[in-house]
Amino acid sequence: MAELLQFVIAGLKSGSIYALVALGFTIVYAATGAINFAQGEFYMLGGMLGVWFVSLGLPVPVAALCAVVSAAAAGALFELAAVRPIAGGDPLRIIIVTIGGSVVLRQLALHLFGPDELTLASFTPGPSIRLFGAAIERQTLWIWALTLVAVVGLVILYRRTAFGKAMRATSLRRDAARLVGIDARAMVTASFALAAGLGALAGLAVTPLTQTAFDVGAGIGVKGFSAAILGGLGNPIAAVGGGLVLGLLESLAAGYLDPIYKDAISLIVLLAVLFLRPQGLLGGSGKEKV
Amino acid sequence: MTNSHLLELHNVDSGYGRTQVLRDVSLHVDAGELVALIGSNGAGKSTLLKTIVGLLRASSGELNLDGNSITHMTPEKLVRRGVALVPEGRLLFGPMTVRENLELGAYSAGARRGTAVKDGLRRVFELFPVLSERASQHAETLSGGEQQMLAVARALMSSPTLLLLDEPSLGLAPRVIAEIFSALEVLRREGMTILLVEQDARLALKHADRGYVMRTGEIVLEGAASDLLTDESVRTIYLGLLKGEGSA
Repeated sequence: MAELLQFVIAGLKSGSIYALVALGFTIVYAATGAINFAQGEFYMLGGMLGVWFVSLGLPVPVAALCAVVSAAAAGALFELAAVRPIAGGDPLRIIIVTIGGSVVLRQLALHLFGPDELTLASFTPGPSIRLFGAAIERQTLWIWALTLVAVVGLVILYRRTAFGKAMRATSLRRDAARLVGIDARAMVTASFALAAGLGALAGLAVTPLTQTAFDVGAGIGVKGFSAAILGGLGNPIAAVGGGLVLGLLESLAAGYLDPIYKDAISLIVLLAVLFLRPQGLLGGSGKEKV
Repeated sequence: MTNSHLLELHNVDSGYGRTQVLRDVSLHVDAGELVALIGSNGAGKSTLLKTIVGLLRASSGELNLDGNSITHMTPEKLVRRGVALVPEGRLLFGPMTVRENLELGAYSAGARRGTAVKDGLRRVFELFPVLSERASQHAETLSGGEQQMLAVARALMSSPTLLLLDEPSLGLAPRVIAEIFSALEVLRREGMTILLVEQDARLALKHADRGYVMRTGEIVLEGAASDLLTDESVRTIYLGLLKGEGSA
């Protein structure tokens, strides 16, 4: 029983990380109809920038905030400087630009931060917390809390604020949104910034547990994309569900079958969903994209 | 060029990509007028409205609003200059509530949005009381007529001086059409300038001061609405008064 609980805790931990990355995929998809294959690189940037800001002597909470905000700014800049001028609004071109962009960002990180694995101290030091014979690292609690804050924040943004409603309106009816005065292109920039910020938050929160390096983006990109597809790509809440389910599946497969299967799970899930249920396991009608 | 027209188009060409639809279109709308633009399906009426608001770019020609060029102005800028379009097919934000649709209609008010929403809601609920009953319903659950009212109301939320309407009667029951046109009459009495695109030529001309007739992307006839209603070619082709005469 304690063993199962331990696997579930581990699954929900990585699942939360996948959920944040998956949210980024759904947000950009809602705004552009395209997959942002550079999403994983912003996860990488979150961790790397966090380490860098801490090395400047900033306290961890300030460094974390700076890292997430800088990564979001980098996301906006990426949209303004590369996606918009090269791809215009064409989803296929956007996909290709983001693939190219991911290579550039990775190489840039290699030159700026070096090839070594880097790490951060836990946000709050101390021993693990015991629960029915299982152990929960304190950093895991941070991951859950930050994921919860991010999801609640997104719901408030989309449901309660004029800016969030303008983002939804643009994704629903681009022309109608423009007719009421919404700058649809600015909404696309905002969606890239938001997605980058969420990815960076994930990369930052997980770094004390897993370390980070310039090349961690591609792997997490596959996980986050699988989670988003599992949720149907259309709905952020379903993407969060997709992330948690994927994390649990991985953890249970690694625990009860063989750790070797862990990384295969996301690809199996991705292929199975695309073949059997392209609208996603948790996806509804998919009428509204955000 | 100085003039007293509110909206003026000079020799405008426009279309989709390389497909030219409008050829050398010139027209004007004066402040306070209700101008009808009639013509059969595919004549280019919607293309003309989309070009005026900037959803499509004019490939040549000039568009002026109140004497200032708006030739390459984007829709999001134009709405801040007082031009609102009720688009073809309504283009409502379906999964959002009636109230949210209306609030978004006032998006262009920016910092004054709070007041704009309050004043706007009072005005459109007065004009279309049914919308106030449906305020918390999702737009996609409304009937066709209510959706059209919401589309008009959403456009009015930006307090336009020039209202463009694209086929507001399409697919609606006569009773609903009457309700929408009586609302247009109210707006008109309040001094709103209206450019109305309609396939139902008789309906449009009955309410309009002046009219333009379009065929295959060109303006082929213009004049006072009352004259157009009695014009022989208009009667034949667009009002269908003679049997056996198809539209060009």
